[in-house]
Amino acid sequence: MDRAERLRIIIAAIILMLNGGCDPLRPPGETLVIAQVAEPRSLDPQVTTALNDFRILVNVFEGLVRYRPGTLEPAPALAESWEVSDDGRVYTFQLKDGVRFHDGSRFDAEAVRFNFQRMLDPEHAYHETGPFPLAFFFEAVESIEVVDPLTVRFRLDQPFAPFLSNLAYPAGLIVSPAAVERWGEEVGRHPSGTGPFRFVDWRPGERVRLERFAGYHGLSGQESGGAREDASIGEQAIQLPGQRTNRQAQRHVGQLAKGQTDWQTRRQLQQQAGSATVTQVGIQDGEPVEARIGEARERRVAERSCAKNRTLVYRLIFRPITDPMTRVAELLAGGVDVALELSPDNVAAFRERDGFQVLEATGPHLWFLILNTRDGPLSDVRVRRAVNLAIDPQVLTEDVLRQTAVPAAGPVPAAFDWANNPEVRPYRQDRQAARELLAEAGHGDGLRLRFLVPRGGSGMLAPLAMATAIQGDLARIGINAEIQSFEWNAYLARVNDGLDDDTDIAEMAWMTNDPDTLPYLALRCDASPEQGGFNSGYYCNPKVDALIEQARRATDREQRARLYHQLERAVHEDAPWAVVASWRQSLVAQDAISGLRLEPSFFLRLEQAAKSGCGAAGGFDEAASNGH
Amino acid sequence: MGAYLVKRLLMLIPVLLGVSLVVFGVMSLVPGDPALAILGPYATPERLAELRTELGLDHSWPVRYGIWLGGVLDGDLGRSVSLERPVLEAVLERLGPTVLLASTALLLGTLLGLVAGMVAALRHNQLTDRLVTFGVLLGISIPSFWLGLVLILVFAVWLGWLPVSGMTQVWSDASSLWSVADVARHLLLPSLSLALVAGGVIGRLTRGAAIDVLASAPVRMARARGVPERRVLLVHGLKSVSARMVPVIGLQAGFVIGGAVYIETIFQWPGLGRLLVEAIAARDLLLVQGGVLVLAAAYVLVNLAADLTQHALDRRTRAA
Repeated sequence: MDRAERLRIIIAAIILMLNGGCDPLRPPGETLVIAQVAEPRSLDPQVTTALNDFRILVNVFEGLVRYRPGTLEPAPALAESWEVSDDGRVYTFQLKDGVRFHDGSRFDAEAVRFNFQRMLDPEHAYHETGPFPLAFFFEAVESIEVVDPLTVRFRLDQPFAPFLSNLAYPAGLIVSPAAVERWGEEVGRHPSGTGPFRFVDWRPGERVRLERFAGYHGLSGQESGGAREDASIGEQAIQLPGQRTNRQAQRHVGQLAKGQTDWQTRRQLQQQAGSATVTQVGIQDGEPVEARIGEARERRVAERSCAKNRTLVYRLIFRPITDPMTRVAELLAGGVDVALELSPDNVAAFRERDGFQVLEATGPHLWFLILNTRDGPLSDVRVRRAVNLAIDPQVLTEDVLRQTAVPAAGPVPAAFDWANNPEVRPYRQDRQAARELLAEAGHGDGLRLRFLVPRGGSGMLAPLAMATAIQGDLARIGINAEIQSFEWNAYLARVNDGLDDDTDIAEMAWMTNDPDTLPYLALRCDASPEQGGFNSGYYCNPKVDALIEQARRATDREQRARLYHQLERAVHEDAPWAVVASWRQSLVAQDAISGLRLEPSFFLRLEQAAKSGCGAAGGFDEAASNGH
Repeated sequence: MGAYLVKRLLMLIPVLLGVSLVVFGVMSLVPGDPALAILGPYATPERLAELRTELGLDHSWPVRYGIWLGGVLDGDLGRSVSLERPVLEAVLERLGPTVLLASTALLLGTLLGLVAGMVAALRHNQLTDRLVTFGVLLGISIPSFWLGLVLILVFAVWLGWLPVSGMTQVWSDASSLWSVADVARHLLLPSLSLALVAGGVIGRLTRGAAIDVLASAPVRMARARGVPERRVLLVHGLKSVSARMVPVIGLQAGFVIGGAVYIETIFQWPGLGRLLVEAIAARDLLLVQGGVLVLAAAYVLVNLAADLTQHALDRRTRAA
């Protein structure tokens, strides 16, 4: 008995000792820990293609334009404004003045030209720091001209409306030329951009750490992340941990520049700031916001609520946690604040659980069946419509994909809300009508089709489960679909070469960044695999071709939108595909985190991220009570 | 002795050559294209072809193996496509954590195994023996990755005593003294998951060896001469049992290193095992190759060390 008691005390003492006596198993208030799914490949935005890496990059770098938060529309970022020539071939960008990279060098038109030349010009001194897999996004660029330090002009070899969307993609993020010159091929491990967070360190297999960049220029109000919903930030006494009076702020920035500051100095500054009713500087809408500290404190005392006390996070830590069960365990234990890409079952469990929030976004993604419009029974539009009528996207997304996707209708994913035609609805399941169409086409006594399926693959969601569900649906209208499955790379090689004459159906999924991309590469007559395109079902409708061509040349967005609406209607009627779903990703975060939004691009901009709770604002509360 | 050591070290060369050849061959059979992995699924065929040429993938695998081997002789293990950096650098950086984890697990497992085996042998056929034997059997039969998850659930999620995963607290960079304690508490659960399996095997064999030794002539002699029991156990018993157990421990080192591959993945330990898993998933041939070579070399060297230790402990094998 005695011995057991002693043993228990010793164990408790060891654990207490190891843990340093307080509660260090949860990250402190100024730090946000994000569980990612893999070790980043590279932090060079022009080299990597992984979403996992993009989620870090969009916090370190900015491009000329970016997606307006919550949408996929290009909006100003490092370019304050731009003009497009009437023929759609010349883009002139006015750059923001006074912007500096994290390494101290100046952002200007020369830096912009350096970035694109590095990607596009094989003769460029730093082209060898590639390969740049997404350089083809900008292959329409003929020349880049520095008009003056704050004006840069791109000439395209043909009108190309998706140019702005492509610039908003991470491949268009601007890297510091000085960093490229200094680090060469290793620049992907020493990133330097103009974004709100600067890179601090990368411990392989453990973390990538970012901290707020004191010299951040801030983006103008309407563009800022979560601006409208977060309008109440000021009222809720939001504090940047390094809050300070203006004079102190200057000194603080000076210290940062000299590289002297650390969390301790910041604490001291807070204590000084807390000693009087001075103005407090926070960041709202990317602009400094002043609020009376005294007022804020009164309100806090009145409410006696820790939950209202939000602190903008100062430090971001991205952890690669490849094992999904470990991500779940870390969330439950509180060791991470945010986790991405959990299984649907786990997301459902967190939705029911107190203390967690689930955020969702539907991406510019399309999951569809390619139908062979050239050979076999599906060359008859009536049979293609029958296939569309046989399946029910609603049921497939709910039961098979368990809400990790939403039903989709046409070739323009709904995430492009400006271009998507709301009147084109998914085909409604109607087995009677489907059987009638089949009978009309002369297949009244049934039909055999060959159906190719990958066993996995990027964006393919659950390809085999989907295939068997669809096979069941087809059987009920008298189509006997024979499934053949392949490993993803072998599958791609086969399907991207075009469906041969005894293959009828193939699954496919795309995630794009402009409504032009998918129709242009996969629906035009001239986009057949033999001509280097991805139109594996050999769909060809000159009217659709004309719409695609006009839309990519139109410089006016409303005109483009109208063209896409017509395109969707036409494709819906011709049914070259059976469009089923768009991917929906989710994020699980501790309840105390706010200012998060999962973008339709599945990126995560964390400029506005804040933590609430007594612990979160510890630094400030301490300062306030010490001051008085 | 010197000649023996040189001979054993020279044996490393054919072993590593064989291992690398097998890895290269197997990886070339695995479906998947590194060029596609780099460019993403929507790469145009021309761009893919270009990159394949750049990476030398359009040669047959024996040719690629020859090119790779040439590089190795120059001390160049190639460049990892999934990490965008030299293989050697990435592998060496991850070696330390794996060595730490594996040696802690082996040490813990050996201690647990020796103690459990000796206790069971001393209480031969009594209740304690049965209980220990049952525990040891449990240790052998429970898969360590499952044990790892259970340990996480109990000690990290429910009790909140220890961190779930990682090697250090990711948000702090404090003094070195704190770092030692910090690594120690992160090390506890993963090394325990590995140690229990190794300890089970060692314990079972120790029990058998100890029963033999305790019944052997020298021990009976010592007892008859009136040597205190404690001294009999420690000097005669433990010493000869340990000498017999050294090769077993050496073999267990191999299992611990192998087990580290998935334990590192579950506990997100930044070691070589996890690097390998990620490299295989990314079809990063050169990184897999580099990682496997280092692990294979470690395995051979540990067993060499075990053999040498046995020589030192047991005179009878010295002649051999």
